[in-house]
Amino acid sequence: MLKDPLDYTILIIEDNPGDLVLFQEYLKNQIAQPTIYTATSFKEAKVILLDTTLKIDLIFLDLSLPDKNGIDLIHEILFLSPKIPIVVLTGYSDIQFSIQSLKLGISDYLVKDEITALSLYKSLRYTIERNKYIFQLEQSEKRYMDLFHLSPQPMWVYDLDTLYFLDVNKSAIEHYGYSYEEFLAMTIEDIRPAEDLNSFKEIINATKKDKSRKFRGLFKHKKKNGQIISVEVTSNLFSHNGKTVRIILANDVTERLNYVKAIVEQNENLKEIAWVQSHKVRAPLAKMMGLINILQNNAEEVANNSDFLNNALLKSANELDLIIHEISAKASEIEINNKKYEIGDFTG
Amino acid sequence: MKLEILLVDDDPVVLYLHKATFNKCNFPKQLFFENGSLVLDYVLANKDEDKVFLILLDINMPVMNGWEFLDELNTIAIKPLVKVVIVTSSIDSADKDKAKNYDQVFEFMEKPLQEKLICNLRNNKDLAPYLIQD
Repeated sequence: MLKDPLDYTILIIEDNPGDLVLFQEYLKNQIAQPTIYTATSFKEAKVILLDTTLKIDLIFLDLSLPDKNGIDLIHEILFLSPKIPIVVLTGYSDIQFSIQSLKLGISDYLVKDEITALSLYKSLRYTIERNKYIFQLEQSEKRYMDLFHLSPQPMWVYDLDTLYFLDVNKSAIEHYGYSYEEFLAMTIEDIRPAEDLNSFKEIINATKKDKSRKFRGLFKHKKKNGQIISVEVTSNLFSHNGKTVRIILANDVTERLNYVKAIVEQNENLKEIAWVQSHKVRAPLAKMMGLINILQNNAEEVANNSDFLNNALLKSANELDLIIHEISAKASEIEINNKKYEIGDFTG
Repeated sequence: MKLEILLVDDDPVVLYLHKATFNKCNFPKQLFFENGSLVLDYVLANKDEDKVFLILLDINMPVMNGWEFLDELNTIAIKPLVKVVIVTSSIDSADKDKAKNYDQVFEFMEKPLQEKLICNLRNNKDLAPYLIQD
């Protein structure tokens, strides 16, 4: 028969020397090259388990050791190595207790008198595989929780029926000013400005009927300090503990919108300057050109209207000067607006 | 057959300069108006089948600007013979494009008026017949 070629590192904690030899033989019978550590007391087992370099895959544990037994023993071993799966080896008299020990975190139990090489190997193999899946599940759940809780953007989950917040992340707590407990005692209506409530209820009702998962929209939210912010909301529908919930990603775009508004205003100023340049500046200049032309080429007019020509020339020059001052004032308004915002403020 | 020259501008200095240029080119006597509304009233009160009005029209004026004057003129059922030269200090090409939408506008001139261009108006085929009589 072909033996299992994989590497296993196994700890057997068993004070009966006969059983110990037998179990080792059984394992070698099924596994090509197992690494087996043995301990005949809790004290010895503790030394081995504290050595984290050993990378033990599985523990076989006899529940009655000379220095510790029963529930105490299980607790101690679980405490020392919470991640390593434990298979309890038990006699007929302890079956009831072994079944209960599964609840404490034991992976499996085997009745000593019934153990064969195959059943021992099978239990080992199943337990290790199952443990891997559990580990992967935990990792995936942790990754999800990290994505949610450590997201730099405010996020929350709410119950689509009651509208209560079910969970909020750190960024939401920091941004809106409510504590975690305050959030969980509120519904999502509580962060809306009062004047938006009616239109918001309509949207919520539409959202309840619409089972499409994704939603995107621009809303006004109210922080704890009363400040109203503009928020771009992206949300998605999912099932959580049997409830229909929506997960929300809230992006505060207040500053961005203010920035856009500032740009629009500035654009208006620039347009005005352009208009003034092309319409108003040239008016007095054109008059000056016409007047100078008369002064140079029209002796009759110069003789008859000398005062009028001189006054008109001076007046036109003053008009031009005034318009240039107006433009310069408009231009400095733009300068001031520029200083209000730095591009970096809006990339975050 | 009579030609009436109407100079329209809200700035008296501009009107003076227009007048000096027209006199240099030996045009008949001109009349002066300081906005579109006043010249419209005059045209309506003095229109005559035998008469053509040459209007030098400014765009930016209070009360009724040049465009409003042209729009008003277009609403009148019996159109007097009106030939319009738009005169503006604007170097905005949008104004020049807009002027093309009005049939009465046959010239677009920038301020200050150039003597050569004004004198050339004497050769305009619509205006020439009225001037020979003078």
